[in-house]
Amino acid sequence: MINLNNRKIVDLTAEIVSRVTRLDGSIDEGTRDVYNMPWIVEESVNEIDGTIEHLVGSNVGTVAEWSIGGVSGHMGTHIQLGVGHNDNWAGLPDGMLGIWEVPLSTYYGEACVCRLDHLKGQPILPEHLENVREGDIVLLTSCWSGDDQPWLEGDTAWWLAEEKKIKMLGVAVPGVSWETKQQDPEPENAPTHRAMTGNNIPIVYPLANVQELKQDRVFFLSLPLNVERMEGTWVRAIAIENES
Amino acid sequence: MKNFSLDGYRAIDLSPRIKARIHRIDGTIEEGNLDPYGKPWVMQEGVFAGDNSLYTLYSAPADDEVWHQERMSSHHGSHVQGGKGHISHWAGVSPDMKGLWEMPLDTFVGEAAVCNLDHLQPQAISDPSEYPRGEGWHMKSKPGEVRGQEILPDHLDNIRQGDIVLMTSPYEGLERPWLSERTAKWLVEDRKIKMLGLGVPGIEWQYDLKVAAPKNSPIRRILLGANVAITHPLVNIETIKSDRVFYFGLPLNMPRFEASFVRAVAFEEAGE
Repeated sequence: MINLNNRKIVDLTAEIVSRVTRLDGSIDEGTRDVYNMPWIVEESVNEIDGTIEHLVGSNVGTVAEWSIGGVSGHMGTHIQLGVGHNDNWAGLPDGMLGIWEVPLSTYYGEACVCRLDHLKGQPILPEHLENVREGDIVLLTSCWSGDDQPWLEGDTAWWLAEEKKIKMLGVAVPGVSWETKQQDPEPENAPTHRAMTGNNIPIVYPLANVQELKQDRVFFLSLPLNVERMEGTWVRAIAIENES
Repeated sequence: MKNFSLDGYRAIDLSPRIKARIHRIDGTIEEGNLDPYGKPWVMQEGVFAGDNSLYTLYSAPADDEVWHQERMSSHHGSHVQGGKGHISHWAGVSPDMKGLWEMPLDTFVGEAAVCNLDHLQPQAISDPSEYPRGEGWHMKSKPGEVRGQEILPDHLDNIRQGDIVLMTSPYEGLERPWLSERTAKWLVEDRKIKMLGLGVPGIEWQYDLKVAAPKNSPIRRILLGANVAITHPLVNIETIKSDRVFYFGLPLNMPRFEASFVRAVAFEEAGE
């Protein structure tokens, strides 16, 4: 039986401290993720057993800074595929799958860690990703943020998807700017989304702590919730590596 | 030392599949199903103006026919719960109770003992103390009624110290075997388990819910009071062939979230 002896779990999930409305009406303010997304909950009492259960999100129009009310599957570290997410875009292929339709084994396995500290403000090209093996989960990171982040060129995204046939793309944010041409007209827009979801390769982001990994190859796992039709789901992404 | 790998292991999905009920942007509704406790998962579709992609909100419109309010809780579908924020307002609970976010990650990852209690067949009881609940509004059962058996340490002899425990049975309702206070204490104090995962309908563990504190919900108190996380409802435990598996069922990384949705998966060595 496999075990965790002499191994450590590294949490690669960005933390969002919940904004909690307490039973007494007081509010514990929370934090937001790198995309300014909150996690909003409110205490409620389960009348059956007197436990407290959190209602998730807010009612429409009741929280000024989140007037939409509900929270989407894209808050914090999450995973996404094409069906229900970008299959409304022109030019994507038939046969795209939803998160719930790909094998569970898509979401865990051997991952290649690509540290791109040497690419300050530069495009990420295939030659920068020589350690990627066919079928890998690929974790991209760098020490940079903002305009200094290296960015994933569209052609490189297609190379990862179709040449290296990667299993999943995980991106540290901040660290790597992984999408380009988001405002371009379809079908020229968002090449990374297109390369990945068009080839049924999940994207998991924003990851944290990838820089903390010591090994170049680790075990990675980020299991989506088992909810059919959910185009993106919150995940707890982890790596397991050997103790040094 | 070789890297951690699940090559050669078979994944068994322990989270019940929920089909979301979705209100699409064109006004249509795609019907969903319910989790094992009868709870739906309702979503509303929207368009992100930034790139014309679609998203769904975990919420129901005010006039939804299936769910009675806009919001659903953290307890829909498979979820894991800790004590802080969940029962920490109860009289008599330990002040040292932790929230999920304060527990080490290996609480939710690791070797698990599989306890399929299908051999604990229901039987007629001779005394009301032999089952913790009664039919309907009755607090206790009557002699002669067929009820589930008490789960005893003898029935759990494959549990090792520090294990995650996955427990189920094929029995339903009042015929489910039940987790008693003495066995829950044994799990916590003797076996020092990290987490308990419960299959449905399988195990009776939520009883004495309306008894005055501090005697209410004894099993929840014992487990969460000792910072043993509880994950439920789980499915497919009965399909596991081995009595030991490797388990993942991690909460989201949202501090203060008293319970969290999880995807629970067991990995069994192939060939078992």
